[in-house]
Amino acid sequence: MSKLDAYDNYLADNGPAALVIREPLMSVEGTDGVIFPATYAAAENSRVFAGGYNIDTFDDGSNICLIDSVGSQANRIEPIFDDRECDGRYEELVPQLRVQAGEKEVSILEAGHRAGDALVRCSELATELNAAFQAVLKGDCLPLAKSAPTSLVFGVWDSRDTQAKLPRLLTSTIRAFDVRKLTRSAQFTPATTYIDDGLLEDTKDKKLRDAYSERGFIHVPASGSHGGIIADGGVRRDATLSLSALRQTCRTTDPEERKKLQRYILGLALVAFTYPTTGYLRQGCNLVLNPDQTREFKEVHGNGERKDAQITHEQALEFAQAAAKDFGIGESKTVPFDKKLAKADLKKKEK
Amino acid sequence: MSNFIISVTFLNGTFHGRCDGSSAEWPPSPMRLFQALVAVAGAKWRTDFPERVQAAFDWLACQSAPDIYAPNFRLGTPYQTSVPNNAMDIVGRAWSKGSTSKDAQVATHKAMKEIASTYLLGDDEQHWQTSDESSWKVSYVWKIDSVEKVKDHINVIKELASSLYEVGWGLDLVAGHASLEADSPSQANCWSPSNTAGTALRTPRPHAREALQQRHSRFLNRISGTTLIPVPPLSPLAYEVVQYRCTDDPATPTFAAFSFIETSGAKMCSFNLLSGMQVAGMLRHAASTVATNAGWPDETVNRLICGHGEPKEADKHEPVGRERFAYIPLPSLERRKTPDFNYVGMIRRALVYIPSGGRDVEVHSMRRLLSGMELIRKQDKKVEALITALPASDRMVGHYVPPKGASTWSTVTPVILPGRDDRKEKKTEKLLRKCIVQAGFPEHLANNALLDWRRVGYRPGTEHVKSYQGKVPKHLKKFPLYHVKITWRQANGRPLDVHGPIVLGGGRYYGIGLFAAEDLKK
Repeated sequence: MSKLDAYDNYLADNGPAALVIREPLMSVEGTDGVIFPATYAAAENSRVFAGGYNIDTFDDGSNICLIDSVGSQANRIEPIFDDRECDGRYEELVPQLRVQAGEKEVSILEAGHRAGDALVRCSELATELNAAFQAVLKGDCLPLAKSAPTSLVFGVWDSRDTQAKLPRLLTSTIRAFDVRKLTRSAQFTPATTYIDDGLLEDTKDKKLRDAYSERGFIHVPASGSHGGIIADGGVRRDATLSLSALRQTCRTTDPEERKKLQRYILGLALVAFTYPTTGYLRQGCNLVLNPDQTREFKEVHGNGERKDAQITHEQALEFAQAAAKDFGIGESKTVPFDKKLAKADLKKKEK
Repeated sequence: MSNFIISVTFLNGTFHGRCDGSSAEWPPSPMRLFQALVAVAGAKWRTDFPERVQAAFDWLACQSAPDIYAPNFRLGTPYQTSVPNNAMDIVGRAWSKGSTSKDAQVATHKAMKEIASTYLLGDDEQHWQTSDESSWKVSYVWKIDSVEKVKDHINVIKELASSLYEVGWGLDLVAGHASLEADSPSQANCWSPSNTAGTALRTPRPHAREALQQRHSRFLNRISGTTLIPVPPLSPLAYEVVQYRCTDDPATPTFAAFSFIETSGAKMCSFNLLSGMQVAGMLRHAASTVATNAGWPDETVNRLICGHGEPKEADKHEPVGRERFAYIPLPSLERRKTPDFNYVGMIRRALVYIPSGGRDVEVHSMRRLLSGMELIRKQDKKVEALITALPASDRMVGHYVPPKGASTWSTVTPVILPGRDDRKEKKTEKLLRKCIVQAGFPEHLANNALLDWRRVGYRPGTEHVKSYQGKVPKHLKKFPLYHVKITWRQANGRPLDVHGPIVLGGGRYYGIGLFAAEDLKK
């Protein structure tokens, strides 16, 4: 079997519905190490959730804590295709499109709405991407795959123009189980006692005292703030790659081109899917694979059947490189942000 | 008869769909499945569905609402996260000008989005962490009389179902499958359409496919030149809202709630807890009078209102079963001496309903007829109170008929057992479970319920069972009374929320053996 048709069974109509990975993780300090999950704003009804760690407790006393959400994981994975990331290991898989605005240079891989982002549409890429989205509406994803292929992997909505929408093929979430929540307290001690030493005037005015505190001139105690969690039930990354969605949405009219397109997008999706998203997620949350537990990699079929699968990240990359070469990726370019287009767009919005 | 089953396996074990009013939807509605199938067809054929596909959708939409087999679930805590608002053009302009204003900060242009996951717990409610896709399956079942006639439609739907990829939000990736089976699926809970209040779910109507396609087309054209044309909500012609009930959750019968007002109209009238049966008797008399005056046939008044299966001149009482009015005086639950509304106070309200359900017209009529009537003492014809209709949402009534159900209930008036227990615990338990079945609950609920009983009440303010012994009707005097606490459970021991009213035992048609919810869901 040549590299190119290695995963053609995933593209066949009767192929598996999805690939699923369950990856046991742990803190770098060990399985009983303290990790810091993401914090979230309160629910609309703050009595239901007042903000902080998102921990769901079940009737049997067990609980689940969200460490990294689908959106957050996508934001960590997609930029790997940027040539400035990962030593440029994945740069040849996608065209490098950037918009230069002032001194900043933003890659389409960082833009929140990908090919549908307002920043991109206010540049000379607008015409090309508009045509690509128009083609998507007619069932042809090839032009979009040439310019912004990750939009086909992570989903896109051209919300400010054609309204074309493509679903997300990939979800990845990290959760911790049966967690114990910790709190921490701290005391900030200024370098010197500014008031006692007569360097600052003593005051009972709350506003002024708050200003002192903000600038670090007085002692500031902090108590009962978020102190991380200990995950007694372990930490796990669950990732799903929907092959059904890929087969349904990544289409073009010519059958031969369609095969090339689907192989290319599958290659990118497999690279993203198998990419190890461990490591430093945020301060206090440094996760690594748990070597004592088995990683699960399954093919899931529509009738519920589950079969073992095994694709390493290296195999995925090798396949993706071959598929990208066969498909022929679009041209890389850096274009300036067009203020006139932005102004016109704003006017449109105001109306 | 065959079962046409479309199964949807949620690959991430969570679901995020919201129903009308933005609260969590469970189970996912049949309309949501229909929309997902239309989306699959849309990805394949854009707007020009082949005729056979159109016909298949139209056939599916004409079928009656399917049964839904779904695993147990648990609602997660909602939280808000900030998402980009697609306004980076503003940021780009600011950057181009070299500005460091608020506009130049990406964070300024984010919007808050609320997310609440519904966790699918699998059939045996195993720990979510250790379950997998096989437990996260929701199946929609249509009964098909003659498969041969519709096999073309079924084949089209089968093909589309195998390509399903999302049901709910974009995070809710699924694997789909459709098949014809002789047996029903094996998931833990079966949700069936019900003619009483339940979980409201959208189901497709005959024009659903057309309406969805039209709405999609309007969505694509919502920006025309410089004008935003708002897309109206999906036409109500495309779907109907069907009430679904889980088979484990007996339906709440339609009821009428009343309060008692002093004849001066100055304040509520209250009755001693032990005079509940007299209150029920007066209420029944009032009901019978107003129904007769309204022209209800004698036989209906005799059976439905008075509970007599025998003709008026007969000597021996013939029971009529559960299809008769029950008159349940409701003691107020007060915050006296307790932190919660636990103290059983005086009777100020009453509930009138037909335990078998299904006679909504008569219950609604009775609500109208009784409201404004007088509660008259039989002996001296003294008017004790005025009867006033209450809304079903009355807070006190909610303790007896909690809108969200409750798993733990305890008596406010004791249960009269349907037999002698000879003071043997096993017999008492058996008789209590018999009471549950007699009151119309499924046998498996009776068997799974956790029971506790004693002679003194579980709530402050309740009366010792001895206080009732001289007050119950003659034919029930020989049977023991107990205060009872019930925790409703599923087969695997997990708590199960049950809707009221719950009245068990010998005096259940006049308020003896009345339970109130202990764990009211807010």
